[in-house]
Amino acid sequence: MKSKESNFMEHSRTIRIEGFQLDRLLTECMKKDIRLRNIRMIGDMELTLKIKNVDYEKLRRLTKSQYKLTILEDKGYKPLFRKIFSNKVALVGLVLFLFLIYYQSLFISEIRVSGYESFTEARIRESLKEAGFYEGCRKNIDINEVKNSVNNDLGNIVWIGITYQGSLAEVKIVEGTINLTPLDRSRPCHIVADKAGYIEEVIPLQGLRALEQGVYVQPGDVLISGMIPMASTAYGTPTEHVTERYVHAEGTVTAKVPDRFVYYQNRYELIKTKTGSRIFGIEICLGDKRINTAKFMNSYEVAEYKTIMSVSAIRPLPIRITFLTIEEVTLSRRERTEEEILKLAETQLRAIIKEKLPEKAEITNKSLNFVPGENIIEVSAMIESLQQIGTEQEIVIGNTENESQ
Amino acid sequence: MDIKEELLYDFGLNLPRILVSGKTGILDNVKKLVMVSESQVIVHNGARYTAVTGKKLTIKQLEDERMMITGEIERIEFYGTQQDD
Repeated sequence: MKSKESNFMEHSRTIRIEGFQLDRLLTECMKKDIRLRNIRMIGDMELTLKIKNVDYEKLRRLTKSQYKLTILEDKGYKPLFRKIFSNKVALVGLVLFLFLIYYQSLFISEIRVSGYESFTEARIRESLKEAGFYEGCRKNIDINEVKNSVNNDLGNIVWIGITYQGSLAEVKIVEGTINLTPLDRSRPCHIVADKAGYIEEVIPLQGLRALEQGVYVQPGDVLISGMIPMASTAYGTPTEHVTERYVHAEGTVTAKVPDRFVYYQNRYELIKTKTGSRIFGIEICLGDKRINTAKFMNSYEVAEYKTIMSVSAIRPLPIRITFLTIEEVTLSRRERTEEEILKLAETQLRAIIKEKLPEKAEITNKSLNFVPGENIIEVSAMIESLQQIGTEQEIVIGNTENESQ
Repeated sequence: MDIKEELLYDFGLNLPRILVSGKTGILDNVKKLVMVSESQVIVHNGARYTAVTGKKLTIKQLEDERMMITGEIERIEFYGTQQDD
């Protein structure tokens, strides 16, 4: 039965038959095994019916010249395809459409980021972009390389997963725990140094001051002790032999911390002088394919690219069209003055201080030393700053190994 | 219905057999179409005739001595030949 249905699906015809004794014709059709559907009588001498295309010729032979046959409609997937393929423009459009759908599926059109807590989404997206994973990039990018790059860039990432759902990329990250929870105030602890420096001031709120001013300490040295010696007066009781008590040491320790930073700057300044001649070009980026018309025309020895306008889209295809100019320039150089070098060194140092030193650090002294090289100048900066260096370290009673640590 | 009656029913190939449900009727053992119109379909079953009367009748399917009629079926009549009567 299924095959009979499928034949009607394949190609069927709705026809009109006009003539006398239509009931006899229908009986003949039944006897000749011509399958008929939707027989509708229109008056006494006219009917419409649906017939398989393969049976149409049989019906025509049967009717001879006694009946008039008119094909009203062709139905089924065969005539549909025939109709489509006979229209060349539609066919080209269909092929182009399918190609666009396929080509679009090669690119990532959307990235969703989830799982972040301390990082911002923008920061993660920036890191992904640096790794070459952005909206519009090809899907065949090495995911492991992207993961490694993001891990190296962001640091505090325990796990990163990238999955595709069509053109959508889902990036899930799990951050590590670097913020240590403060110690419970009921538990005894020391205040120890977390970096090396010269003790400037110790203000113990609880506990015993362990060092004098001016002493140089290394990381881990006890600054305020949570172990306070005591002379027990509970004679004759089990606590008679207790010689110390433990407290949760508290207080602030300020130290002068010396830091040395080395950085470099150019000895010469490059000067670009425009000659006045220029050419215009268009750069078209489709996915990772790039065509730059200016490159073919560029005959300048030294040139400077400038973007005039850039238009980009991700859907239906990741495309970017950039209009640019290429201006010819000549290069020359001049030695930078001492004043300029000093000004830049100060700017660089401020950036380093902002990045490397704690926010509350107070700069007490600084010195800059310049060592000129052939093309670069090495700048070494000595910074002395007042910083809070105390951090809590738990006292584990009964475990001598931990206590000694 | 005993076995004899069932066998007679199953192998009665020249007798009218019709199943009607709602607006659909299925006629079996259709040997010949005697009259077809929008209001009446009369078929010959070999031994007897079956007439289905109604409104807007359409033969949805006609094959293998089976006919499916749809429409508002109002009346079903069975006739015999004069000799039979």
